[in-house]
Amino acid sequence: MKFELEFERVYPHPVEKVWKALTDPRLLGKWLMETDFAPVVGREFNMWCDDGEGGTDRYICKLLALEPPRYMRWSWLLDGSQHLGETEVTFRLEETGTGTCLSIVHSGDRDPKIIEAFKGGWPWKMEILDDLLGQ
Amino acid sequence: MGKSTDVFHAIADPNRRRLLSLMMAREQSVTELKSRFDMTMGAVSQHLKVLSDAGLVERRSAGKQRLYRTRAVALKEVHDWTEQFSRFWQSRLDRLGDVLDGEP
Repeated sequence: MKFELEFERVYPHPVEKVWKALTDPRLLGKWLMETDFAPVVGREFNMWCDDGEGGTDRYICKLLALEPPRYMRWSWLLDGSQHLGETEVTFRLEETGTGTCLSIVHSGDRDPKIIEAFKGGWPWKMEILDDLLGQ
Repeated sequence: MGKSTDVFHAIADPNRRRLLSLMMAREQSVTELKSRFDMTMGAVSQHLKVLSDAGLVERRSAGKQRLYRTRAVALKEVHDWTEQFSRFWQSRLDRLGDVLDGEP
């Protein structure tokens, strides 16, 4: 199933500072996951996080596009779920009057149960459902 | 259109999403629904059938009319799935805020 989920947040900090937190492995480790990320397009990197059961999940990623300090795109694959295909994560930064707006779009094909059940393709955003559900 | 009765297939179409939204507010007849779209009665009925097959819509008869209403519980299946991603990114974005506040 194709999906596209968008998350947005405004931080009271300049674009350059937010960009650094997205591209410096030390800072990425503090908020996203421990990683060996390097800002080189085409290069693979790993991210590791606690799987909640005493083990470690590894994500295999690749830097697909980089336009400092505003745009970056990664492929994103949980090791062991290769049969499900890759997902992609896109980061966009935009100056606002009070700071920086960060938008993260996570897209791809994901859940096996849903892929089984679903044969077509459909783009949509989280907000549509939230609207429908009146949340 | 295949014979899919899958909820995800059903909400793929923007017109069907709009129908769901309208019928979420209150139950309505096909005639009322048609008046909100630039579509034939047949096309509206067809969309309602897809939604109904996916369990997203329930209908009842009231006199000569058939009234349709969105079943929110079926939409919840989709919502719960997206919640996993939402929880992950929202919590990471919270942490990013803390990291930014703590950096010079």
